[in-house]
Amino acid sequence: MIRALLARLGSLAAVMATVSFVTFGFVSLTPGDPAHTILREQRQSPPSEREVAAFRAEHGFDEPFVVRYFSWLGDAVRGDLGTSYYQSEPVTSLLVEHLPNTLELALAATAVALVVAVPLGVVSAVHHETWIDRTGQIAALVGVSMPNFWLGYLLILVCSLRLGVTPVSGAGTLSHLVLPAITLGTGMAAVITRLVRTSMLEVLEAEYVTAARSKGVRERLVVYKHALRNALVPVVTIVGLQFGFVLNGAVVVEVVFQRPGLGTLLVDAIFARDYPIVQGVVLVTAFAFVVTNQLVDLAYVALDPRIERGGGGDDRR
Amino acid sequence: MTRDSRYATTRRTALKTTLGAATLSLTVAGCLSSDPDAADFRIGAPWKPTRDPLDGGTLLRRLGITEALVSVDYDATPAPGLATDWERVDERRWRFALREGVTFHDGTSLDASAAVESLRRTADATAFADVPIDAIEAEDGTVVVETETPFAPLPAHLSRDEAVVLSPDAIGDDGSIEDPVGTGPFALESFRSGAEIRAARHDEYHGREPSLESVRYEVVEDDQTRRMKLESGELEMARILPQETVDPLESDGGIAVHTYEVPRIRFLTFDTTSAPFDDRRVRRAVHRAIDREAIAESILEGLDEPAVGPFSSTITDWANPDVDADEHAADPERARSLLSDAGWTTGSSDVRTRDGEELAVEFLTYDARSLPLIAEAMQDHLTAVGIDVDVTTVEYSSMVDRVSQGSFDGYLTSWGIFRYPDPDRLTQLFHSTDAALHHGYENDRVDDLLEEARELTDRDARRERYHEVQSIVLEDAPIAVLTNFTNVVATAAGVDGYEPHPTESRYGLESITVDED
Repeated sequence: MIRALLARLGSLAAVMATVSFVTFGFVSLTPGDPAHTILREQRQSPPSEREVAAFRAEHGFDEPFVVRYFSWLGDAVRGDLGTSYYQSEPVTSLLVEHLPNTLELALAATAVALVVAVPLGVVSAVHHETWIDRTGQIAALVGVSMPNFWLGYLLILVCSLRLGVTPVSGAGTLSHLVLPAITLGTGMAAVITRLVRTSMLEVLEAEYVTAARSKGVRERLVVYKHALRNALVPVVTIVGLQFGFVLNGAVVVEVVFQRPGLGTLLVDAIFARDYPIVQGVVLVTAFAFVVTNQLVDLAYVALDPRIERGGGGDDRR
Repeated sequence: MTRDSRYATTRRTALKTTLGAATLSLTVAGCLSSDPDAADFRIGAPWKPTRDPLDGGTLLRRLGITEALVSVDYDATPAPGLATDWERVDERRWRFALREGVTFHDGTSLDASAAVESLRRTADATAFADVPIDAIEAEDGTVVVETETPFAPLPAHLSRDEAVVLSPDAIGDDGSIEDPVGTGPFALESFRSGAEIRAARHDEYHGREPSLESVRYEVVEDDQTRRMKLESGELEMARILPQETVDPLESDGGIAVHTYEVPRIRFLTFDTTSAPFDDRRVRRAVHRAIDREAIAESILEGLDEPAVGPFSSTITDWANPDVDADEHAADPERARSLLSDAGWTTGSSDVRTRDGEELAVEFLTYDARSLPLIAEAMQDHLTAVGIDVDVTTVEYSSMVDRVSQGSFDGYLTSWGIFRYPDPDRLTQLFHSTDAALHHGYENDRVDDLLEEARELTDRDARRERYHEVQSIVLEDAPIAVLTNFTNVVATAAGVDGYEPHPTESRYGLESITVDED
């Protein structure tokens, strides 16, 4: 047990170290001098050569890449992710400030996706090859194909401007969360609907389902108790993986709805060449990916009795 | 324990862990995000606030949280601020008399030693790398500033947003600050990085007492979103709107649209060190071929004025009255003859050639302030006189990279011309070694004039020199100025008393009232 845990922690550390090195490298290769970009952003006018030189000296740009990386890594291990070039604030406190909003959005979007997708997928599978199924399929196709930003603006136009029921942008209250969650959840819902449907169709063909039916178990019970639970295993995997992509999608949605979160933080930092922030956000995202995958592993155990943590059963997937 | 129940326990635990983690994060998320109760006055703009004035400090200043020794008047000149008066004691020494009865938001009162501490912090920062301050001392209740060289623009620099005076208690031993504690009509209440600033009325303000009790500045990057938020009643003021929104907004009952010129220019910079723009005649040909009137009309909805010089006479009398766009209307014929004089001749094709080489250039620009559209319009105007122009729109920082490596023909950009309200700004445009602009332009007369004018006290003597600089650079054309800049700001129904400031050093919230009906 402890060994397994240590192995996981070890792999986590390895992933984070690799990710940080790769980002650091790419960031250094990106054209664009942070001194010029950030000073201009702060003053709304280009800096002079003297100001650029002072900025570079202040932030240690003149050191070689390897020296900068290891000094950053040394600090990072001690929990210090550096200071933003643009606003002289510690990256860790910026992350703490922005993370909750993104987490809130990601979870709400996932909830929206599941609430829509699971019933829709089941109904489509049960009514396989009927108009219900086809409508569901088309809806899913539309949902998958629709770009986030477009749907976001559409929702703002209808719900905020025409109907006046939700705020146009911002964050803080539940009403601010509704539209972004729907925007971000739609694409995910579409993917999950299709997955639930396929998975259900497969499971409904299984022998134990036929057995249950022949025992005279009511169809409702067959579908929701026996079939659905087994059909959900692949769905959990995808939801887990999608959660990582939701963090990705949050970048776009946060910009559209002007929600201060990791997405807006990252985009601004990339454009401003505010490297310490880019590093910090990438690190947090990598961490979230790894942790979600661990949680997915745990959820398997809950859903499928044949999968046991650490055990060596023949049925393990 | 039977095999089944063991599984059941594991499963239940796992499920609980997963659900628990999810619930916990939701709760944490819910608790940490603050509640945006409505402030009296809400402003939406694209700029990101910074907590430390040294990182820009523009928004803290505009909102009236911070103030500096010197303020900027509505005619764009340095005016009394926290200093009631100043004199140039000798060439390198300045004495600033402090306003009395000024209280910081934390209750401490402003005195010379507080001002000195705050200003020394500014003088040491990157932001003041160009200001040759030698020493700042408190002397008999006044602040005395010594410069390394005679430096006339000092008061203008002390009016900058980075030179605001902060309470000594707000400055840590290492020079860092937690929150900016200033002296303005509004005190900072909360700050969310990259997102918002909230401020409340400072009851002990030394000047006119504001009618608004609380204000909130919100970052809304997208201009359409800003407009929508104003229309849906989520903002009382939407700043920097696109020109094309003026008409629809004006027809919306109650919304007031303010359009006003700001000291900012759009201009094309040439690489004067390599062909074809090392030849003044070719630069002048471009200058003459561009139809600024058409650009202003078709792309900028007629709001922004055509310009040929760095300063606008609407804003400042530092502008040379002879450098007038009206007298430099598009003249394609003149452009053609200048090009022919320079040896670029027309042959069988539409593009001119010289020694078998085509007159083809690339202009770089970035996507802001309508620059790409203007570049395309310019492309048409130049094609008409036989110059083949390729427009490349890149990210700002990539453009700077290419320009600083010298691999460019020309680039189109936009500058705020009164970052400090003094014509010494021209040094950063045209001085051969001190310019922040990459054009390789060298003119000894211009250098001399700029260096002299920087040292002189007498305003008329300075103005004479700056006017001459403007005439010379119009002839030499290291840059081709295209337009001035007009800001569009809209305020909601019931908002009264907003007066746009030309250098935008303040929003003037203290004089704004909101009628609730």
